[in-house]
Amino acid sequence: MNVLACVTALLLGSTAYNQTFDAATIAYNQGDYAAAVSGYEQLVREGVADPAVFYNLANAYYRQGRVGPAVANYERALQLDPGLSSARRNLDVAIRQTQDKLARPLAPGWHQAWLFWSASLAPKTATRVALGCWWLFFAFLAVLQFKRFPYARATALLLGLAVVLTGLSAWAKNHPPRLAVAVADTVAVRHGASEADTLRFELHEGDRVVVEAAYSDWLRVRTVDGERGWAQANALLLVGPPYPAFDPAAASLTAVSTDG
Amino acid sequence: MGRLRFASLLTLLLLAAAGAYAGTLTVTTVPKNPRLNQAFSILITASGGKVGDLALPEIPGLRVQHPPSTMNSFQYVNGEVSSKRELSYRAIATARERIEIPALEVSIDGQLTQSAPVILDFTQGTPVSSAPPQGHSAPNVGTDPDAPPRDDDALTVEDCLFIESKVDKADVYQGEPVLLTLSTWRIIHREVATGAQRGFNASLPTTEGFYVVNLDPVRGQSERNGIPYEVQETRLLLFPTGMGEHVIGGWAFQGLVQQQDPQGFGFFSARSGRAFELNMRTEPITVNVRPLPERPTNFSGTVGVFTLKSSISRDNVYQGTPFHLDIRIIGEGNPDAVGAPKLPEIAGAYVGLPEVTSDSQTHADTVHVTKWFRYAITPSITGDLAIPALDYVYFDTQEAAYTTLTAPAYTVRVTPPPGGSARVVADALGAAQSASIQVLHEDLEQAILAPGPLRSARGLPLGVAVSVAAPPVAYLGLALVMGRQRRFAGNRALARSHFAKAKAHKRLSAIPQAAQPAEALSRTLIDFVADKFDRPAGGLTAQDIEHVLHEHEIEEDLTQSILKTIRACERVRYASQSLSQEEVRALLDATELNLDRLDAALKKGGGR
Repeated sequence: MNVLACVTALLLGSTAYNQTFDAATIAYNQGDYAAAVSGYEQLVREGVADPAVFYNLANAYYRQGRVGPAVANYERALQLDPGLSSARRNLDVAIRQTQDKLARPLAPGWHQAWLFWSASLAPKTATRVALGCWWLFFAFLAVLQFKRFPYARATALLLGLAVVLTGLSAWAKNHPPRLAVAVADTVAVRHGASEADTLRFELHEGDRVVVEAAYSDWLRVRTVDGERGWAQANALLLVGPPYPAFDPAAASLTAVSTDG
Repeated sequence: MGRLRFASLLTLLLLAAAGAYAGTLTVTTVPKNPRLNQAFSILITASGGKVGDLALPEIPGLRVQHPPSTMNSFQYVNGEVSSKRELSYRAIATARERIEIPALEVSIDGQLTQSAPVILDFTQGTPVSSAPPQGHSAPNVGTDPDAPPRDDDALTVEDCLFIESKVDKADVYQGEPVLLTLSTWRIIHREVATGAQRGFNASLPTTEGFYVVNLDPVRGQSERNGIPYEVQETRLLLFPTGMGEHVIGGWAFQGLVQQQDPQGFGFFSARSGRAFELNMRTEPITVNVRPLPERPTNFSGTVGVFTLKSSISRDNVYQGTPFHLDIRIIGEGNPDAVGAPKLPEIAGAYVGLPEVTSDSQTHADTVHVTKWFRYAITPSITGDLAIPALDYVYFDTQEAAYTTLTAPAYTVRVTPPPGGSARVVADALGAAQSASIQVLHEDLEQAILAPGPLRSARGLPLGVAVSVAAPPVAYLGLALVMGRQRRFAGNRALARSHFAKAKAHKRLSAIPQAAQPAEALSRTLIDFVADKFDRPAGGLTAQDIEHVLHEHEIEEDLTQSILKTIRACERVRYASQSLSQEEVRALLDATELNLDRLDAALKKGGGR
């Protein structure tokens, strides 16, 4: 693909996406939440991963009374832009509407210990910071080819450490723990990946869990308090990335039997 | 008369004294009534003055270990020495009969003393064959418990050690426990030692589809077919998690049966005989798990036998102050499958997730479970807060039916907090904020209207990939260049040699325009050789060049070609001739060729 075609596609694509966004936003403001959801979901299906899209989509779902997909999309928006305070506030509002009000599962211990400083960075920002440190490190090494400085080795070491930390942060930001949100009224979580297995506990719409493993159309999930079990995949919406679109029909067909 | 009486009295006294020191011989057994096949001791005690030789004769039906252990003791009483001698023989009876230890005779102080015979009754008990056990290490799953008792000498290897696995029930409901017992039967016999083969690591059978609880092992003794055994039981409580047929795998055990030498008695003196290996495996056991009957809508998922207790921490609280509702489920069942009670809706209060504590203990053949569910309830209104009764439905395995346990209803008096009323906010743990209450905006923040250019994020952006790859590549290039420069700076010969060809070609390109092309060509070739071999360029003659090339073992053909070119250029120079364009061209080509050949030869290592 030559450069001109690439640039053209970018520009045209960008324009088309914004048009879809604007149309969906107009529908939202007019109270046609179904049309707004449809428009925003179309952008998601086409691979547009923008915090504004997810935020507005979440608002539209919330207005429709669908707390589960609303929570999931607020989480997506915050993943891409942790500083989006309106998304954080709206997420709190949505969580309060859930039955269990489960807290978000915590990040892994190493993440909390070593990367706490990057909590408020968006993935793109973290990536840019990491690249900047990467360039700075090699630029310093290049300068050392011409001139030696006192403490050059220590400085190189420090820069290397900065590269490692920022690189780790960028990687972690772009590969967050697999979160999922329950989108059915009641989600049975069982001992095994089968309808015949004994019920272990239940999730309710809007509950957030970490996905640990997948088997067939089942997911092994873990709640914030460490409870584990298997739930049907179509009863959960993965926060991502990637960002699957929400299929209301699939969620409504999910077995909601809570019997053991 | 008086003398006669004195003599009689003295004689009597002497006789009495003699009688007091008369020897005795006794034979006893320890234990007093030994059993068949039980080792026992025969004690022969001879006491008196001087004891003669004493020994136990051969006794039919009795195996006696020789020599005996002996003990001698002496006493000195009233000038008289008395001695006591004890002989202890280890013996064992192997035939079911009455055996008599005959009266023994020994000389004590010159007098023959006799012991009383001892009758031992061995007509009870199981005899042991004196022949080695029959059979070989064939798989064995145990002897028939209903077979008549053995009363012959044919004891097989399989009788000495066998294993069993069994379940208490093979048809259960889902969640109902199954007791799996794995037994090892080891014969109690002094001539047979049993155990596991060296290097064998016991493992439990597969129990896929079951949640397993280990119970305490049980040891004991039992008898089968009249043979005494030591029995060790490993017990597992299995809770099926699915329905249908579940198979408990076979249990494998690699045993060893070793015959003890009949002549060896006791632990320290037994000598080992033949050994037989037994590779045993039980048959798999199929358990049929039936689905629970049609479940009521409020079934908790719990299966077993349980009771319910409930309580509240306080019945009088402030608005916004949480209190606890504790519900305890106590009973027997799978501790991991005791479901949480479903609290009914409590109007005017926020109910957090329960705090769950579980305690389970194995006891005999079951698991006692106590599971606490503590709910934090925060009233958001004042007045009487009604906590409705709670029904807990579980499947009772004893009754084979669903049973409902009920926690009673409670009423909690809620009073306004000190400092006036306020709307409270409770977090997931039920803790309430008091004085500084924040009023919540239940409505949402507005939508974003202008997000900026939207793009599809599919695929790794090219820019990121280039940004990552570019610095190390650029640095590597720079490092190589700088490294080469430093090498050249530190090694003049290397630098001259490296740049010689380029320098020579550059000079050759200017030859056509040179005033004296022959001299320029000659100098170029000579300077090239000087650079390549790090010689001073000025003053080098053709002869020097020849010497240098021979020194470095350049092939003769090339050497002569170079010399020919140089000499040709010198002849032209010394003859002050002018060359035509063609002649210049020819010389130039020859020079170029020689340069390239010499350079190639040096790269190939043709010269030193």
